[in-house]
Amino acid sequence: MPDRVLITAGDLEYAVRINAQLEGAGFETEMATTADEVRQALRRREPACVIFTGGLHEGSTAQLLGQARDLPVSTLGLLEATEPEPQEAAQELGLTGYLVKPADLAEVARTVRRLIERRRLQERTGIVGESPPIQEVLVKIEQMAPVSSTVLVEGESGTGKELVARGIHDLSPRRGHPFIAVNCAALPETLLESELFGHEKGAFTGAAERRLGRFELADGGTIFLDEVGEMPPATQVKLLRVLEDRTFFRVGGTQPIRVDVRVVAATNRALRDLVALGSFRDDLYYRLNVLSIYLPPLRQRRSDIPILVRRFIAEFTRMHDRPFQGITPEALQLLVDADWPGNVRQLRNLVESMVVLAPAGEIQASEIPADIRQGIGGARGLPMRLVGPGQDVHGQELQFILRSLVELKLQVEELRRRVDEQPARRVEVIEVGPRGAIPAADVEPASEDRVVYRAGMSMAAVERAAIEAALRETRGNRRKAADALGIGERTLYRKLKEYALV
Amino acid sequence: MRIGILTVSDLGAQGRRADTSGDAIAAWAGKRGYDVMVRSVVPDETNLIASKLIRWADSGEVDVVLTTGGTGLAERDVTPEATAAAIDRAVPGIAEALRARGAKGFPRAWLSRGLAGTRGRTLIVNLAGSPGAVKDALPVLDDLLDHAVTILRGDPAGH
Repeated sequence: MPDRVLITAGDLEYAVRINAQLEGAGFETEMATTADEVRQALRRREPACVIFTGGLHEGSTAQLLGQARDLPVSTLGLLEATEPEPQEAAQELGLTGYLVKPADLAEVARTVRRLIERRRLQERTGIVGESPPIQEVLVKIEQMAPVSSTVLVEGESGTGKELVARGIHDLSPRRGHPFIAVNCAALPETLLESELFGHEKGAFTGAAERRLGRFELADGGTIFLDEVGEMPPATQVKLLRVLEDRTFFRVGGTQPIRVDVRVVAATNRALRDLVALGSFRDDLYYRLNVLSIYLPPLRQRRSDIPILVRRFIAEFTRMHDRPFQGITPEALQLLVDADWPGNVRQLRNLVESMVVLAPAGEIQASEIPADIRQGIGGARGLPMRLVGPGQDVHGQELQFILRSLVELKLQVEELRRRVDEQPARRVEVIEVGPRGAIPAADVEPASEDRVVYRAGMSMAAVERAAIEAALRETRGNRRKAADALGIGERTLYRKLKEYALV
Repeated sequence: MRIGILTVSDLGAQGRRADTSGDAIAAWAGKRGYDVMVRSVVPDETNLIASKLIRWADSGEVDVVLTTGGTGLAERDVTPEATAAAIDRAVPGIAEALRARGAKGFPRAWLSRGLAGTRGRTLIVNLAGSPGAVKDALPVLDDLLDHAVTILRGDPAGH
């Protein structure tokens, strides 16, 4: 069925020419002379795309764009050549695409096709947003889907890594075959291997029957290995073997099993850093990182927050059969400004609980929980970057870094002021490098939660000291210590064993 | 029918909170003539929950595992993630039916993220943690479990 395109007659002569061009390009077109006709067509959900040929700054157009925003429809605006900042104007209007007059007619047709396909991809993957970084993600999914190469998806937790993996699978020739997701961090080391590769009857106590592993279940399809950075070293070796020759053994098995599986792996931490630390094999890293997609955190694509909020409100009011709820501009602004350490998942959960629990009517600023508001503007900790190769620093991210630097400068000045005020207070200087060969007995009283580098110390010794300090600080709570060190709990356990700290 | 009951609760695992919900499930199972084969309380840790589910299912000793607790939106609530790691196939209808039933008197039941699914021949169902939620959920299961287990056992009489 050809896609339907609705063309407004704001600029009648241009509209007629576009109409002819699009019909020639295989679209089913319709001209609309009044705003009401557009409204009716949108209500019937007919068009895949609406082209506004003129009158973009009129109130009726703004209304129509508002209506279109919540529907699976693209909107292309043709802006006057006199428009001073066309890109900003398009963003403000909420257009999904724009061209400046006199745009070439073939270009209009190409743009319409591209916008419709992009919109469809968003609907299929559930990855929503108009910001450049998320558009880049969608383009990559489209490019990577048809081949069978391994993909590494990097992004903070809650950014939608599984959606990316599913999108790649759904657009690939494997779509008719299984998509199997495994969370490598959710399973203890002893079970992960038999989950991935299966086991024979009697392979270990409790193995009452032969069990097929996830790789076998995914045969012909895609396996999604989430939190692959948490995979223990022994399992890493086995995974490497599967990637190299597509064969493996069930636990307790003697027959090699051959599978045709595409691997999509994901991590919420920079895998390269784990390689540098020695907790992730570099050969496996290169095998996984054939193609890569970086998912930006929500705070780096704040312009998408209103779109996501509207979509989630619509989704949850329908699901829970709640009366339609909007959100006040003040409440929306709070959500746009918040930090979102848990990213889109956190935003989605919050909107769901507000839709369910809000008394009625609009979501008010006062209903936004304090912990969301407290996150605003406060850069907690130091700026962390997880950026894929070849990506430039720009926009929000640059702002974030600059803001962090300014804060750091202020903090240093504050420190200096305090030191000047209290000259009697002892200031410790930690020497770094060969000059500072401090006798070991002189440093680090047992209560000191600080790691001191001394000349001649190996990386392992520094790491051990850091782990000891973290454990002291958390009074032996290993989960908190792992959090503080930014490593997985299992990694911490392994290191404790390695350094004989248990 | 052979049942396993897994209560997920940090306080419960430390012995600082009575397992009222687990008791309610056990009482319900007794009334229906089901055998409670295994019962355990674990803290809200993905690894520990997933291990229990996998071991119980793979041992072939239980037909159904009912978990209670850890299905909410709080950061420590990880039962659905652990369950997702353990199951082969989701049975979303059961989880939806539980939410819909719970939400009749208590709209917050919509926020429960509980899952249901099968691993091998074992059905795993997440129930929310509060005794009230468990009380709402069990009648829904009354109508579903027998048939589900008959099919999972591969018993042709069930068709």
